[in-house]
Amino acid sequence: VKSQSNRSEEFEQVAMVHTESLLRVARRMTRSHHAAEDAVQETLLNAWRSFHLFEKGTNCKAWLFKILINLLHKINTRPSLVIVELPETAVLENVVPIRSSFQDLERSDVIAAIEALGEDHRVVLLLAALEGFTCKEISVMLGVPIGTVMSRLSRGRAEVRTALQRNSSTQPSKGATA
Amino acid sequence: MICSDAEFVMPLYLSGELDASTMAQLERHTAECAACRRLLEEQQALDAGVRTALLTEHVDDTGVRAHVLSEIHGDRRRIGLRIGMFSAIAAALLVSITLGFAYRDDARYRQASADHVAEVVEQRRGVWRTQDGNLEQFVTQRVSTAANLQQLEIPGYHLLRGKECRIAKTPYVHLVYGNGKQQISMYVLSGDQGMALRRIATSLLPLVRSRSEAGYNVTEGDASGRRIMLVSTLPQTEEQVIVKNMLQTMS
Repeated sequence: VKSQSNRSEEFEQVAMVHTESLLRVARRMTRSHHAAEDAVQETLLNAWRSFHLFEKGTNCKAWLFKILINLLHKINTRPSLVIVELPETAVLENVVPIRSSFQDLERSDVIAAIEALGEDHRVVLLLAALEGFTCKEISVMLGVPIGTVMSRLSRGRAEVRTALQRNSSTQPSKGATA
Repeated sequence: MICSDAEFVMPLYLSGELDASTMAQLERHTAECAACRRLLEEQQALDAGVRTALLTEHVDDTGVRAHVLSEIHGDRRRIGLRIGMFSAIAAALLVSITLGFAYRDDARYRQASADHVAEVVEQRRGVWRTQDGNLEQFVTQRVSTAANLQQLEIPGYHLLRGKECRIAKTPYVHLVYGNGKQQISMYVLSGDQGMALRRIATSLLPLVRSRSEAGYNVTEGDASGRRIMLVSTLPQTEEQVIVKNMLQTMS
């Protein structure tokens, strides 16, 4: 029991410190706050159960992200609930989203552009640009060749850039929204 | 380096994985090619923008951390409980199996009683070691106890003699005590009979039990792997006190 206690303390120090990073990526991957929380909880609990297999001194963050990505992949391949469209849904027209500041506008645009990416492109962009993983690390995590990671990364960046440029050309200026 | 090559290696450049030679080639190319230079700068800016936008987003991990920690600590408690339960069950099984094995055959009580009748009451046979005949050395060697002969005395009785014997095919040391009126026999299991399991079981659960055999009371005591049997006409309760005290003295 004592060794179990030491193990849990070590897990807290080595693995739990990455909870926020995992949540950030999971939220963008699932597009849902609650689904992200569930995925990260499951990731950490899976990691805890196999923590004895984790080699000390290796990259724990990469290990956790690999678990998260595998989990998200499994969740995506699970049979999903059938979505039934409700009749007579009220549609509000001419409603402009309220944005408090230019920073919010930019952030929401970036998030929208990232979330519009296909899953393959989205995950590599988040892991590289947000979490700072190398292409090699991402290729190990995803189990794909490094060349695939590089091309997905290039395409993902290009798509986001295009989306942001399109947005910035159609958005009213800061003065106009105030 | 041509533009398509430059574009291909840009992800490695941005993640710092490009080797020095290719990096030099890319830098030479972007110095000369405005389109690739702009593309590289845009990608750098995009990564920085993504990072800034997402890192400034508030992420509350309190709930997840609390949930995971409670699961982990619950897991630890469950494991502790499982270990405790498993140990208790294992100990109970060990005791049951060992004691069941040890007591499955009660031939030794009959044989001890018969031996006492033949050797002590009727004095039919046997070569005894007496106090004069190096009894102390004999007892120390065979009984393997740190206690001296004086400590092995039973209150109100004197150790008269001793010898080796076999009860139910097992070697015992037979010690005879007397007080002028009657003699009683104590059989001490000689040495360790290689029953480590029995030693563990009787350490966990020392036992003293009595029974009547052919008009004599036989009381057996097991503690920490040591076993003694007392055969006499004394009441069973008195025998049990003697056996308990003797086991304590010997251990």
